[in-house]
Amino acid sequence: MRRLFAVCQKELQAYLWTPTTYFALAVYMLLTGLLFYTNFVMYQPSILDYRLVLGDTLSMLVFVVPLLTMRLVAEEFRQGTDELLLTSPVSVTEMIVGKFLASLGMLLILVLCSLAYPVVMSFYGALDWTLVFTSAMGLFMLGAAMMAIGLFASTLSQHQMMSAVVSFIILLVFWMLDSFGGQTGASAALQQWLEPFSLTARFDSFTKGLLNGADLLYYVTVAALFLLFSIQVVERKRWR
Amino acid sequence: MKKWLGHTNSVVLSVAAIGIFILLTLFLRSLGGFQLDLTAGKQYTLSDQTLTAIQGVKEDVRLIAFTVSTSQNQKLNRDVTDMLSEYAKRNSKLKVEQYDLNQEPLLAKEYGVTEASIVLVQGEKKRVIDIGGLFTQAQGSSEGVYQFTGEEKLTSGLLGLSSTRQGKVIFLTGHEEIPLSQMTGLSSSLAQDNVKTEEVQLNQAGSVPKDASVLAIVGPQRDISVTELKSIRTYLEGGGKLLLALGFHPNMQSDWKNLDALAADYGVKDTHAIVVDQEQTNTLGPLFTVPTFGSHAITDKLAASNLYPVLSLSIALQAGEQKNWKTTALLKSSAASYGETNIQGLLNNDTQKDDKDPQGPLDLGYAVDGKDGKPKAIILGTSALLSDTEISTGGNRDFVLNSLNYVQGQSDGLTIRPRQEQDYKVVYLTPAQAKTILTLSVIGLPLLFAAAGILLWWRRRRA
Repeated sequence: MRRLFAVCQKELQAYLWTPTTYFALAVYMLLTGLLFYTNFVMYQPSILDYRLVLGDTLSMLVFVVPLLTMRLVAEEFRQGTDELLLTSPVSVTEMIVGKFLASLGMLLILVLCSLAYPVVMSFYGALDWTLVFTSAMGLFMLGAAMMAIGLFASTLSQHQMMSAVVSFIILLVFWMLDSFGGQTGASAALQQWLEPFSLTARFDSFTKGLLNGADLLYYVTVAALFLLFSIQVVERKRWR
Repeated sequence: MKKWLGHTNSVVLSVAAIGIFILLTLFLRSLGGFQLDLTAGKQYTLSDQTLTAIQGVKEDVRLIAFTVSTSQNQKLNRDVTDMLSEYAKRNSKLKVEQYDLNQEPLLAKEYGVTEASIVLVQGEKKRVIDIGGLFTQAQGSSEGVYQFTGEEKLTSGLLGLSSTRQGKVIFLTGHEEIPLSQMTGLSSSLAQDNVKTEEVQLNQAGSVPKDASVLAIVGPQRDISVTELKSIRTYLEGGGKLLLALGFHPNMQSDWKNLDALAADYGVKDTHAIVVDQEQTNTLGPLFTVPTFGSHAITDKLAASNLYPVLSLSIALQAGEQKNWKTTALLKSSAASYGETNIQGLLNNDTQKDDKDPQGPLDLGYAVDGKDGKPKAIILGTSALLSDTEISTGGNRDFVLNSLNYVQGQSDGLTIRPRQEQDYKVVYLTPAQAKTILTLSVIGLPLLFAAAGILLWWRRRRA
């Protein structure tokens, strides 16, 4: 456990001392800020409902998460430091989980930044803070699952950009699973089957003020699944 | 060999993990209601009746919402779709579909929908719930608060789909009653409750059909004959049920002897006085009235949801003591109303109250029950509310359907508390406030992070 936290600490420091992190956050805040401004200010009268603002800003995660996770393991491969890690007392599981926890630290910063918008809204009228709290929690859970997917993509290549692209594609597929198929016939059956696996469909409950057990466990299992994949991919290198 | 084993292990482990993930996701979804409702009014906590009804669904049911999107009804549409998804979460047999009514007119037509509605489809059976009727202004609450009765209506609809009951309402013809062709709204609503409608001319048929669950006499303009009265009495004495909805006619005082006798069988006296309601003069006109409800199973739920009927050209009724029947007033005109007995004067726009005219509140309808408490008849001093032109006004449809359901012994007693909802809180921002928000959210915060990135990059470059 001590080794796991050491990896986490090292990664968190790497995050905080990398200019790319701040640029990614700046881009995220710019895009979400624009969407917030459009939704809240451009259409008058302004509606004091965080759910309406959050819906659009959420999609920004698909672009930001790959940027935040692309270097996690790919950079180790590129610099050859993975050899050191694999021969050190740190197990692959500890390494992967440590890196994942560090990415969760970054995610927490991201979620806290997103809370700037409901705070701004609250200056102009009473806001339902329960909904804000559950929405922020949902954002964190969704982000955690996405970070695990990004981390997995990062284990697939030593090129950061390649990892980011793969991560983006996987995230996009998971994001849009509930949009595939139509509303009638066989395609409707396909959609019914795919919908439970969609990242976005699971988020709705949180924005309504509901903590749904199935939704919470879905995000946890997605994260666990991709962490397992990541471990398997790195382990495979050991056998080479 | 060792390398090969390692690879095989990885693949097996990964495939097993994917399998577990898929099964776990689908299993947890089937549990559905495993959730904590943190909303202020426990908005998404469904009642026990609803949960039982949902669990009782054994065949696939499509919950199709046809909504109309305008900036004003965003919140209402969201209430509807949120509710539907809560139902669907709890039983995988319930599938939600949502369409914009204006974008899918052909599909809407297929289900006979012309206004925002929820259509429940199970095989060949369907039921339509009018979305507009799910929302009512909450009485005595602050502005922007409304009541949402979606759960009660949707659960009732689900129960109705699985119901095997079959009813038949027979509409009497031959006396210039309102024909069924002018009550299509009512008959389609009854059809959704598995109740058939049929017209019968007693002179030809000889007797009321044996399979009739209710005999409806709606807005007759001529009196029924003695033979017809005899047939009707035979039917009623044999356990039949009656809906008598009287309509205005200039000669009703002198010509309606047999119709009056039929009402009198149940202790109801037709006063032949047309209700003139001074309270409605400025809005609807003096011959319209929005009655208050008497306390009865038919009206209690409507009163709780503020669903009041709007009546025109109503005749004041009076209930007398009866040995065999118990009469309960369902509708009452306002205290400011009176019953105009001078019908000729009324036709000449002379609507002054005189000594002969009874002072309001006047009774406009009764439910008649046997001494054993079993429903027998509904007698109304008004009939236009059943016609296509007025059925959608106010709570007319709900009142009529409740009355017909009650008299057929189908009041299921489903009472689910309407949810109190708050409409969107809105705020008008001044240009200065808009500018502040723009500066802070679009320029300030991104710039702060960009500056931190540049500073770091610059320091690392120098180091």
